[in-house]
Amino acid sequence: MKRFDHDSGRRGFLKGLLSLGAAGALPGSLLVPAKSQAAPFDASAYQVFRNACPRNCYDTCSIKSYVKDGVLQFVEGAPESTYTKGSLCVKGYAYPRRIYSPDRIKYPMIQEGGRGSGKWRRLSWDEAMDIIADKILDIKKRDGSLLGLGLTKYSGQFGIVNYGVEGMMSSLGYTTRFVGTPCWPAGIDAQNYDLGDMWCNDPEDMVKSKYIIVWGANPAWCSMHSMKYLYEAKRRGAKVLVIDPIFTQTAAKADVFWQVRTGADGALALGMARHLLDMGLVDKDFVENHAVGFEEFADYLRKNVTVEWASEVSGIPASEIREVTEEFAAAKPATVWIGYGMQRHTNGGAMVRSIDAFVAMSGNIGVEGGGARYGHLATWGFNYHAMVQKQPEGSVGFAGASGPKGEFDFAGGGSAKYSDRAVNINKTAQEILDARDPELKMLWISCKNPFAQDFDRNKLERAFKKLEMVVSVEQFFTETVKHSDIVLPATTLFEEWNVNVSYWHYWLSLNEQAIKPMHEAKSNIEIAAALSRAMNRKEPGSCTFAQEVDGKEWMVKEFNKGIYGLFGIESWEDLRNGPAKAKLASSASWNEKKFRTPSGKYEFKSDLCAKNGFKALPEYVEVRKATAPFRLLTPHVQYALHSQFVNLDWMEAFYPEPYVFIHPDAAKAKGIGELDMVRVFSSIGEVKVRAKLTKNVQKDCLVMYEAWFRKLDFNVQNVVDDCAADMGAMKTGAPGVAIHDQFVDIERI
Amino acid sequence: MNYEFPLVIFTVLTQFAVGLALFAAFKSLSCAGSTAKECEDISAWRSKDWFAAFLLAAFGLGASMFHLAQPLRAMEALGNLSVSWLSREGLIFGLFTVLALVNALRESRCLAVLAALCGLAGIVAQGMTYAPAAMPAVSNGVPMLIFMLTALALGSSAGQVNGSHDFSTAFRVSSASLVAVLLIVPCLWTSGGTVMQASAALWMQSWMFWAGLGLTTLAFIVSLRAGAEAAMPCLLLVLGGVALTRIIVFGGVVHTAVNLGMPY
Amino acid sequence: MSKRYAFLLDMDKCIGCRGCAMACKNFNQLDPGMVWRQVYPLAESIYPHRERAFLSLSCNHCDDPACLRACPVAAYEKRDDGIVVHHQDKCIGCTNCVRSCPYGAPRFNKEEKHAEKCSMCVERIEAGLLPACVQGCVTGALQLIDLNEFEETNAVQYPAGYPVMKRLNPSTRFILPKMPRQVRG
Repeated sequence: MKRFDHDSGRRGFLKGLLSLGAAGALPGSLLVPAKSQAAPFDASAYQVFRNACPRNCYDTCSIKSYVKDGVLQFVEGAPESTYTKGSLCVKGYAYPRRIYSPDRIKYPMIQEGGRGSGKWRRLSWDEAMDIIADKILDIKKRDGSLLGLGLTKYSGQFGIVNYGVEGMMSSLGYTTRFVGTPCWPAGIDAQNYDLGDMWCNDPEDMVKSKYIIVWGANPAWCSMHSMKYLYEAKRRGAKVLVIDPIFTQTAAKADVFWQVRTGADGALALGMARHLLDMGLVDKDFVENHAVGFEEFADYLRKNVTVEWASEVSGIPASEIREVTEEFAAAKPATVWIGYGMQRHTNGGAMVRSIDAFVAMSGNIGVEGGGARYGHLATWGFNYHAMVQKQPEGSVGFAGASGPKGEFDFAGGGSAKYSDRAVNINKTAQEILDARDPELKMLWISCKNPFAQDFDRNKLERAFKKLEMVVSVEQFFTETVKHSDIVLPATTLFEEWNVNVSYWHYWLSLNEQAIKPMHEAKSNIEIAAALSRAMNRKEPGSCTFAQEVDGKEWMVKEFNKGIYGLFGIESWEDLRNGPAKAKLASSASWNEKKFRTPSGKYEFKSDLCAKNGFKALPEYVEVRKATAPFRLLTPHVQYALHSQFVNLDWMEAFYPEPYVFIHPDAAKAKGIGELDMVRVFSSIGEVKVRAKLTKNVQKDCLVMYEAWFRKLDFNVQNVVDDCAADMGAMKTGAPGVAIHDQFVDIERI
Repeated sequence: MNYEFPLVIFTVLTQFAVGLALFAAFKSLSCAGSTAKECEDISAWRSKDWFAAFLLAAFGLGASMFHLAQPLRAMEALGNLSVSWLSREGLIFGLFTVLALVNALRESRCLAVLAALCGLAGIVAQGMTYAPAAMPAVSNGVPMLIFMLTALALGSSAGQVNGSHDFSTAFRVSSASLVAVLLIVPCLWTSGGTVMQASAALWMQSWMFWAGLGLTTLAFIVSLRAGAEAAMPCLLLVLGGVALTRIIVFGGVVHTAVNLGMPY
Repeated sequence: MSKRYAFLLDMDKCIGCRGCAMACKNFNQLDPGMVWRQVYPLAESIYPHRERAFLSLSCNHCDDPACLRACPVAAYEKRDDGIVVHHQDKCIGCTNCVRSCPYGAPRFNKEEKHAEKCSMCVERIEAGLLPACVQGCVTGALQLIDLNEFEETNAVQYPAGYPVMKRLNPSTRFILPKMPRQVRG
């Protein structure tokens, strides 16, 4: 049998290059036959650059970009990374179109007819910066501080140099910051209570697992590059169980699928923990020597939890729970991949703690191929040079607080007299409405699309009316841009220097500038420098940000000895030969079983957790009560990263239209037929969309995948409110959002 | 539905021309033994038949060019005679058009027979061209049969317009057969695969299909009542009928590629 | 012995991500609306879960290609290694190939006024590289095989949902998808 693998491809490629050299020596192209034997692909005809996908994605791919005549011709996955392994995804391969899309914002513009009018006028960069600087100075004059200026930025571009946006704000003074994360905070805090940090195994070591539970994650769509490890583990004999309310694409690839009732995962995990206890399958060495509070937890389980109860709450038969628990315990190593989806609940943090406890009891913490995998920030130890900026002399800010937090905030808080005002990013609309002394007057938006991603969209419309000026740094005319006064064109990753790491795998990628910025686009730090020039021209000393920046220099300034040591490189330039992987003593996190909890051990019982207002033990917490007939889930689709990519015409070739997915029985009861236009509505808003009938979803559940379509006003946030998740405030500054505890009704229109 | 008007016009007109040529050749052959005067008169009529055939074929070929995205490169379509029925179709109808013109200018029995045979070959080539594997409903002899009956129905009604001959029987047989074939074929498809059934449904749901069949049937009835006397009405009716059903023959057949991933 | 290049789609590994199809657009710089490879979800009558198993199809590089027989200008070429190449410069846009291919491989480009289709990235193969879609398949579901040496016994030529065209003898091979055991709450 003959198959061609990537390696033989590379060898052949080298041979091809040699023969090309020979062919190149022949005079002219006349010798090339007229038929298709002509012109083999010649990589040497291109300039090849190293790039990194900076999107909010597990996979953070290492990219090779092929440039000819100053134009990016195509991209491919870096073969040097065993994680990217030569392949990007459907989104990554759309990058050439993203750069050269006719829809890109080309130059600074001002919406003269008022927000939403669509009457835009082109500005020069100087004009735009003058208007903005005047406004900032005006606010400072009126309020005596810059707390009326707010920044909302999140995960649109995770490149390290992009923390220069936060830096720009600091360089102006003390401002208002939208802090926290809508993504994963409840789980982060949960893991911090249990383990002392969020630190997952190298995902590549899943191949060693003998039993893998993918719990509330859909890597087939959201971490495609991880699928090969699941497949390899299966090939080596591992069993894969997917637990999810939706029959996901990942579930279709599993050995077993459990369709759990949404928000009942905690009960299920506790039932499994109880069964471990009953069967004497608890890892004694771990719970006795490396953990605290196990006896209390065991007591709790004996008194409050039975497998039958867990079965009743979760909908998974007791016999199944018993069988799988025993198989999981027998398999060494065994692992649980805890997805971000399952912690977006009012009881999300508690559920993650229950799963952590189950994995810990089974003795799979600190084990290669084991672990309660959630994420990590172990490779993010950069200098944050762009981010750490000094406020101008005499800046006045928020007195008494310790300043904003964020999971990626590595700068550490000093004890200054003043600080920024931190407001909850997950309640953007409410915080704008509620801000007093001073009111929020101006909002700077970068790396974020609040009108696609922030909750309770109708409330956000009302809130934005309160703002005197909104500035968006964007690439496309998003709904947020429609709600802005000024838009500044941002570079794509191929037009700037950066460096990227992942919160899942352990690779480090350089992002070289591969092409000149398109049109008049500028990177975030160049924009900061331009603003600094305008500010200092108008009021010398009013902005401390450098007035000239060199993207490459600023990228280099993010590196330090710690990074070089961790990744085993001499210099950042080594990364020009390809991405580097952290030199790990073990592929297992916590392999020394030294936990970063107050006790230094795994804490089944966390006093810190209790101190923060939760239960000390990973007890059962009921999920948010239903307020309408259907639960609404709005997870990710493979074509989009939040509001990015689906707006590209290339993507429309594969994903032209969104749908609401409904169970056929529910549809029948509502008189809804396949592809009927329906209204999905709740007390806060509605979405009009066509319905698809499928048993992939539960009868009491509707599914809409979040995305921004350039030609449609589809927006799931119309019906997602800003109800908080339980945990998250400790490490990220604000609790998460109960994105999957949303309730709606549906009717045919 | 994809109407493919250039193909509809091209095939209907060339088949009309072939029909005319067939009956003109028949007249030419059957004229043997009559008086010279008669022969001369008929020959003059035949010349008009040939000229009409020439015009129809030329116009049809012209229309076919508009099926091409690059009509000016139409001549290149003769470039793959060894395998492509489309190339052969083009060449044969090119030849046929020339032969029709030659016959119109100076008829000879030999050339008339040659032109008629060439026309028949053209029908065969068309039948092969428009029976692609990708359309299981018509990936068979059906298009060729429909094309042949079309040629006969149009040729027989047009051939008797000048009153020299009575081809009423031929007309009635061919038009009735055409109606029968167009009715039976989609019925057979309903017992076929998904894609065939979808084609049948498209035909059955199309007003053009039923209107076309109605006109053709009407032509048959008129011919039954009035015979060769009503040659012109018959011709117009059947021409309208054929054009309408032809739109369905091209546009109403489902391609397997629209059903990939689904039962075929 | 000569090669006969072909695609192998392991549907059990395919996650329907469309990465292959976009990798094709990316490398071949296709016009915005054009696709040379498309991913088709299997109907629920074939795989009982909606949009969870897929056919990823481009050109099947048939033994006896319908496109080649349909083309009046000989724009199609069947190479000795099995690859069917369409020469766009020769094409006059008659769309007869589009009508003729049961698998929808040739597609008509209205702007450029010609048909176009997958060439199995022949220029990459000649340089010893994999086709862009195979290189781009993140799960390893899409592979390049030499049919003359291919002996996988569980591969099929005509999975359900894929037209059976014995005369054309398409070269693509498929491994069928499996299903998990399901426990529904």
